[in-house]
Amino acid sequence: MTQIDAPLSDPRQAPTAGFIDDLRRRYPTEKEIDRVLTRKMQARAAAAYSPVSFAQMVQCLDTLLKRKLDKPFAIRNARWMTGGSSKLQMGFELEWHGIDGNSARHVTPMVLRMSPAESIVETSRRREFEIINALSGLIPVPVCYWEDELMEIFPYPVLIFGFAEGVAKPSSDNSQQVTGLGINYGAALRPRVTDEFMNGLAIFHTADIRNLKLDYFEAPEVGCNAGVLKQVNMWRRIWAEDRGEEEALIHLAGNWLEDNAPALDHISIIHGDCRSGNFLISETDGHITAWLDWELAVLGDRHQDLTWATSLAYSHMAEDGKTLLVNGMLPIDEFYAAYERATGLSVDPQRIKYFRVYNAWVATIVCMATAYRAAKGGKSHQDIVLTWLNGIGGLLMEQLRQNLMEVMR
Amino acid sequence: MIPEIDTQLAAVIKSLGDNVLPAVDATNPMAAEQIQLCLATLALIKANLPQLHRYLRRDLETNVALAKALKPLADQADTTASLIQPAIDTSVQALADPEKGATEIEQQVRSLKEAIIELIAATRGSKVESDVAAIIIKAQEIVILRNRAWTVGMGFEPDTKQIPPLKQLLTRNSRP
Repeated sequence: MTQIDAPLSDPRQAPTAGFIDDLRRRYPTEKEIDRVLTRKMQARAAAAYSPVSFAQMVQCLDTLLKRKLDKPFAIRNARWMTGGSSKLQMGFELEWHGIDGNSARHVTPMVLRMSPAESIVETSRRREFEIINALSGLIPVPVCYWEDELMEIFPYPVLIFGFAEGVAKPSSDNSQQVTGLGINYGAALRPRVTDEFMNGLAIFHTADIRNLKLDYFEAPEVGCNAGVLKQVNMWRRIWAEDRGEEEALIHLAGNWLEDNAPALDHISIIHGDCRSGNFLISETDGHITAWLDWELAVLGDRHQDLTWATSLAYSHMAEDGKTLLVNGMLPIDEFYAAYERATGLSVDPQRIKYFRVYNAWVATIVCMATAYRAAKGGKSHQDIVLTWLNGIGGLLMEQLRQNLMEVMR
Repeated sequence: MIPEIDTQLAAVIKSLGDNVLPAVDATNPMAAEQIQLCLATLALIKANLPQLHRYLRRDLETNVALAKALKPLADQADTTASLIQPAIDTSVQALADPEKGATEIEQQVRSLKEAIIELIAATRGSKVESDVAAIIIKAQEIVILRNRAWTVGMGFEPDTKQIPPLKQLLTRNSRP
């Protein structure tokens, strides 16, 4: 007998091996990304995320440190931290002799970042560890010490890095949004923050990747669009893995992005979530103390970061009430001009148009598919935040619709 | 007789706000943030729940109209889109059936949307591809606007004056 108003059938909630293999075959992407997404799908039917106790976290940390360090150490002042809509964070102080054991005993404040069972973006701690280490010495980034991507010790993948001083937004900015969108640095700090942001972008967008250790990244080829297509494949796969109901605009946009993918003219390190709120500043002078949140980093086209940073979502009006400042920094034309001056790389309006569609599409997939799916499975420590973020889907979808209308005219 | 859901929700919200919220450990920022989001989510549900059935019916109606507009294009391109007509037929039946509950209507919307996706794939690269895209992009305007009206209380809209009230958008034949 058919149950009246039975729950919606949903093959994605307990995917079969055939379902997973089919998506892997249809949407080939980078090897490390494939591994992470496949693991997510294979674990989906398993239990929901259950809170990891503080004692368990400290115990795992102690086990990891005993394996990694030869000299005696002590974990002090361990405590939960908040921030972001994605990972669990625990702060602690490590009393130790340094990574090589050769220093005098001293204290280093650190942060342990652990993925829940599923989060709003499913990413590799190994890639994050590698890109931060590669950039160390080039731009201010936290010192990365250890990772446990394969969950040899912790119940979920972990990254451990040095605590970075600074604030994501100045205390003068009293906006209340949950993810720190649209930060207002204020007239006094804004010029310095802008200069440092451009200088940082210039360094990692022009870095010679041949000199960097990036084993878990695949470098795209200049002169063709294969790298962009691989990224489009990744997000098509994520949509197919995580969505609730279908959305025609997501498919139209995916088709357009495939058909119009531009050839790469220069390989850049792409932050992937490059915007105000994802770097820390000194409140006293606006100096950037650390670039954070590298989990979505890829090797690719600089216009991806440029269009992400200049999204309306991270903009606000200047003090005059009529000038829109993108990324809380500059009017958009001045922003692009400053970027060209800082990097020596051109800003191509056609690529900007392409990546505006791409980024609107990605943001919609993240909020409408992955946030929904992780919360549906009870897979994170903050499902309520994920369902809240799912509510931005309509706004993002309209942005995507507008972008599609513009490019398909 | 069943308990009045609106009153139950109001009681939960009051209980959490009056008694639980003040007892939440202020030094536990995750707990403090999440209790606020729980309260806000419950308030949103309470405000929108009476509109749910009508919302889902309008959603299905809009998608039926879209599917009907797309079907001749698929025929014209001589494609293999085989799901669209059966999905239109069962959707029309669902709308005519007063016994259909919210989840059943939602399931019907999902089936119809999957048929539309099949049609998009089947017409890709054909002479009607751009016409299919244009019709879909236009049809999504009201669908998205309804969604934004549903979620407007979540605080993401840069200019809430641009979003008509949900009740207005759910009246029959409402257009943006």
